This record gives sequence, C-alpha cells and structure tokens, in this order.
Amino acid sequence: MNIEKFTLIKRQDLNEGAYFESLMEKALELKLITDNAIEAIQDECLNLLAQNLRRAYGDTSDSVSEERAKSMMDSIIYTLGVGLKTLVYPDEALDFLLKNGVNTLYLRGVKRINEMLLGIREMLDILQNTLKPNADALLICTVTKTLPTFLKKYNPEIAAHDSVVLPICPVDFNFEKYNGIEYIFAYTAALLSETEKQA
Amino acid sequence: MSRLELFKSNGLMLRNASNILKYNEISKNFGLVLTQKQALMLAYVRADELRYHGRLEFGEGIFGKLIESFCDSPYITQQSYFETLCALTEIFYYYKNETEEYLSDAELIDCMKRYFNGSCKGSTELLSTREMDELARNLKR
Repeated sequence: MNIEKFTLIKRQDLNEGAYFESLMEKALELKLITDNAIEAIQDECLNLLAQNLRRAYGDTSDSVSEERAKSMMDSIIYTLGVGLKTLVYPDEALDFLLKNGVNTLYLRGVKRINEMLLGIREMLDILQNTLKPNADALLICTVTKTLPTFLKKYNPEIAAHDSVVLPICPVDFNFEKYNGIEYIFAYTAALLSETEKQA
Repeated sequence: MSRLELFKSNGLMLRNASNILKYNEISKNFGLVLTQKQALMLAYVRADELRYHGRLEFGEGIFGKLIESFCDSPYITQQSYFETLCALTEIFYYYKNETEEYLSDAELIDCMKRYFNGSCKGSTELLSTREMDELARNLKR
C-alpha cells in the first residue's frame, strides 16, 4: 500500500514557471503565512536586489535602469523558486524559507543552478562526442551552435530566468511548465535520451 | 506599493539629505555650503530625476562624486551652487540613459566637468544642449 505524505499545499496546484510567487500566494490563501511575514520576505528580497545590483554594476555605476533592476529582481525570484523546488514537498519548502530566510534559500537556488549548468555541460559533451556527420541538420545545429551559445551567454546572476536560446531540434517532451535554465536542462536531457535510443 | 517603489520612501529622502550634507566638509573649503533645506530638495530632485528617467539608485548616489568634482570650479559661486547642482543632476541622469550606460558614473561626471569648466564656461545650458548632446551622438555611432 502506498501512503502519500499529506501536504496542505499540493505541488500540482503550483505554477512551475513562477514557483516562488505561486507558493507565496497559496500559502497566504491557506493562511500558512501572515501578511507581516510576506512583507518581511519582500524586504529581504529588496536587500538582496540591492546587494546583487551593487555586485553586478557597482564598480561603474550607483544606478541602473529600471529595466535592469526588474530583470535582476526576476532573476532573484526565479532562483528562489529553483531553491524551493529542491525540497520535494511545498510545505517543507515554505517551512525552510520561513526558518532560514531569503538569503539562505537564494544560495540553495544558486547551488542548484550551478549543478544544472554542470549537468548541461556534461550532457552536451556526450552529444558532441557521439554526433555523427550524417546526423539530422537540426540536431547538428542544436549540438554545435545553440546549446554552446546558451552556455556562453547564460548569466545566472543577472538573468537566471532567461533561457537565452530556443533550441530547434524537435524532442518528444512537454516543456510548457519549464523556463530559464530548467527548460534548457530538461531539453538537453530529453535530447540526449532520444539520441541514445536512436544510436 | 510595487516592489521597486520601496526604494523611494520619504525616510530614504531624509537619509539621503543627511548624506548630501556630509559633503559640505569638502565643499566648504571652496566657499560652497548647502543648507539642510537645500540638501533635502536635492534629494527630492534626484528621486524625481531617477523616476523620470526610469532609473534605480542602489549605491551612495552621485552627489558625492558631483560635489567633489565640481566644488573647485571657477564658475560656481555660493549663490549659484544649489541651482548648478540641480542642473548637473538632471544632466547626469539624462545623459546616463542617452549614452546607454556606455560611460561609468565617474567617466560621465569627468566629461561633464571638462566641458563645464572649458568650452561651456560654466553654462549648464550649453553643457546639456551642446557638448553632452554631441558626446551622446558620437557614442551611439
């Protein structure tokens, strides 16, 4: 008999593409978090934004365009979402955030993003080493240009949420719920799996 | 209040005004001093310019750099000090965007200073409409 862990917040009710925000909304709706706690989290996010802006641009400027600031904030929120997803159950993830704070969760997200980056590099190495000269043109383009471009241009500190490229080699996988590096990671894994089956 | 608007609260204005007043220690050596009221008005001018030009400030702000750079200008007197700082603030944020952030804060202020003390002979109007305009156009090419 399978006994599933009872959780107040169901993962399937959350938006995978906007995980942090949807978890906050759900937690507020179910009164698992107070308005004051949400405000404290927002304050921590703003402090983290200022810190990250200083680190990224502070050498040359004391101000940035609102567009850059918004992109940085989106990047932070995305990274927090990645951090939350490292905890399987949303209730656990919420507890973690409330006990440890935004900075710790952010670092957890950064760590996971770095793991995914390493994973993409390793998978791409395999794809490139096993690529046949008579392979499909779309596959060749994806493996030799698109994915290497992602690794070159992806900047998790400024734009973790930006997947940078749009791979064109079709793969049988539903990517709708993914964005940012999660999308590229899932895509590369699916591409590798398919090419290995065909080999 | 949006996420980014938390950066523009009134408490922040008062803190910014205090920070601006600290630079009187440097400028007073050149006979230039801001009053508390002027410092607060400058803080609001900066906030307005940041909002108008769609920018967010996260560091110490540019007043320190502006005052340090311009306080020894032969074209600034105690009577013109406050108005000149207001004008320079507007010019700075406008051209920060116009130069597409190609220049760092220090480089932009350095250009402004050279032109202000040189060919513009203390005219902020000439600085804005002539020299800085040409600089921005050249950088965009």
